[in-house]
Amino acid sequence: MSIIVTLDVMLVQRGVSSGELAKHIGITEQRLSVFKRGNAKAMRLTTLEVICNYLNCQPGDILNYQQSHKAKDHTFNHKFKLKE
Amino acid sequence: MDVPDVIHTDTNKTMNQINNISRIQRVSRRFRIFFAILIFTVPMVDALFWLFFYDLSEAGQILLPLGELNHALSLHTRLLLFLTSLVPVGVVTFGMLILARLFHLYENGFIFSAKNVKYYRTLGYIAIAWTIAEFIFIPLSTLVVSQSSLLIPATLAVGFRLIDMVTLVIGVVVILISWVMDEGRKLADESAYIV
Repeated sequence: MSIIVTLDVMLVQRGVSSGELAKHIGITEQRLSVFKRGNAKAMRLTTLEVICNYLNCQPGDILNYQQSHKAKDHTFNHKFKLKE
Repeated sequence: MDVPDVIHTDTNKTMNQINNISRIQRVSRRFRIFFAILIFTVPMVDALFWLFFYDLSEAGQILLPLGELNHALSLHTRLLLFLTSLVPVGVVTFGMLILARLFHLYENGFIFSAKNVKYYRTLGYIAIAWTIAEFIFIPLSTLVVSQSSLLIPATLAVGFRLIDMVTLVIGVVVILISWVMDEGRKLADESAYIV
């Protein structure tokens, strides 16, 4: 997936354990682990809000977008350059 | 150290869930054994019924629409009737097998899996198949009795009772419910990956 979850890095930086965060969000540690491994299919904005609030960070600090070669062919810029 | 109320509530809720699951597993085990026994006893009872079925005086009139009859059936006829009866009995036995498998899933803690839904759907199809099997059994059995006895004129009875209609409707409803359940299961599976 092109979305890279960097929650682990933020947890280390803030000195917060996964269990502590999971308890604060109100989900199980296993479910948080699914998210940390990048296996989650969707994320609620309310969960994102709680995480950002607890870790005092921005959504971009825990989620990054990395463009794959396949996805590059479908970007607006790519199509624009081809027409030129 | 004071423990927050929220943790107390969560712990109680989890304990209740564990207790309910273990209760379901205990009851399911008994039902699984019960249906596993029925898989063997139903065909056996059917065989015994036809083996000791000497005349068409009482039970026969309930079972077969041949009017008022009172004569002994030969072993050959009874064997043919037993083979004919295997059509609905086979369907019922298969139903017992599916129920035993379903309770085996509950016993192992699988309450809402794809297999559960598959078994529910199969039970719906079995109910429909049973109606069809009964519909086949009545003309076949009357044909067997009338062909093997000179006392009865050649008869071919066809019957469709109210219970057959009810079973057919139940079968269709069970299939519909299993379809809705399958959609619900898919949603539940999806939600497992939503944080």
